[in-house]
Amino acid sequence: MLMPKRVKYRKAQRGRMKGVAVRGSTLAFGDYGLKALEPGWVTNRQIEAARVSLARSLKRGGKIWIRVFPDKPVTKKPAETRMGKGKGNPEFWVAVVKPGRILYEMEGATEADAREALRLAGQKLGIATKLVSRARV
Amino acid sequence: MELRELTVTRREGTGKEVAKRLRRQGLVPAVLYGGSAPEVLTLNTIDVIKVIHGREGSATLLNLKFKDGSGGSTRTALIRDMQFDPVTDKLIHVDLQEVSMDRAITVGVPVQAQGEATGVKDQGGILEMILREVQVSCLPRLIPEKITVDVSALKIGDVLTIAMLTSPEGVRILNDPGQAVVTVSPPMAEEVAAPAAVVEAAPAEPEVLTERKPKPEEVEAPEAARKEPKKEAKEAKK
Repeated sequence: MLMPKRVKYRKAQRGRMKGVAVRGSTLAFGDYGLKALEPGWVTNRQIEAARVSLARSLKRGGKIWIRVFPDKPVTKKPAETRMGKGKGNPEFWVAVVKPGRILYEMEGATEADAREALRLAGQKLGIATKLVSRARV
Repeated sequence: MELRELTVTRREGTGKEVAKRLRRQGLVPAVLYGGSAPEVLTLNTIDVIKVIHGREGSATLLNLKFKDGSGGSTRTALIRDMQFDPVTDKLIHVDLQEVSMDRAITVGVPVQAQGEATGVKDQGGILEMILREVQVSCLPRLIPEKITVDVSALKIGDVLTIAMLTSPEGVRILNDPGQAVVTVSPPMAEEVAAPAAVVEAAPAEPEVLTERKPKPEEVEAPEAARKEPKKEAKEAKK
């Protein structure tokens, strides 16, 4: 699963997700892409599940690019613990996604195949997504 | 390249309030520069989409017709940039650049692959377009619609560079001749299920750069201090 190799700090604050993604909102590599329509945290497990789904749908017949990276640690307190006594331990990693962000791109598949593969991949993520292609207009 | 007609209207106000109002009416704000002074315009969104429909790149020559008749006889321009909403993909702004028909300009022209590569057909590779648009310098009337590149001889691992492209007469390609345009990459490797032990052995946490490493004396001293009270407590119980 994706996670950073080294970090400056072990724990991070939650932050806010205001506005829309301006960077990373256009297709850069492939012909088709999956675009986020709402803000949210996408965990490294979700990113991996969607990647596996895309790879299985394509059956070696295409190329995939992952355009997000989970670089934010999320901590959790153990079950049945009283409040206080400091911040919990890092449990998983998330990518902060704003609306408009391209999450995946793919190339080398027909439009019908790409549409179905990205639809299945989108179901693995916790946010609403849509398919985008180079032929925008 | 053929000239396409586009009706434009001169715009009075500027700023986001005006722009938002125009977009609500189905219009799109635009700017025309490259002439004596930049001018702010309004375009019909549907007209712009009709003009650019099915065309990649910025190379679309336009004959601007001013609705109020104040913009001079005819002005030739090309679409230099278009901004789309990142979420809805609606057109939000257009940049037009006025061009002179007797002066060379630099524009992006789409590259289109022609034929089916041998590496794709026989070896199951993937045709990868590394560069989708090349920058060319030419007179506005000589702008090519697209530059086609024959990929039928490409095998897996072969790379087609800018130097191998043939440009029409009067058109000069500005990109680095060694830059890759198209390649055929090998098919994706099939996933091998990793054994569970290997997955567990993977580091759970990354290296922390700012982590304070305790000194040896600090490690020993607290341990000794912790052990002593426990012993005393046990003895007291007995």
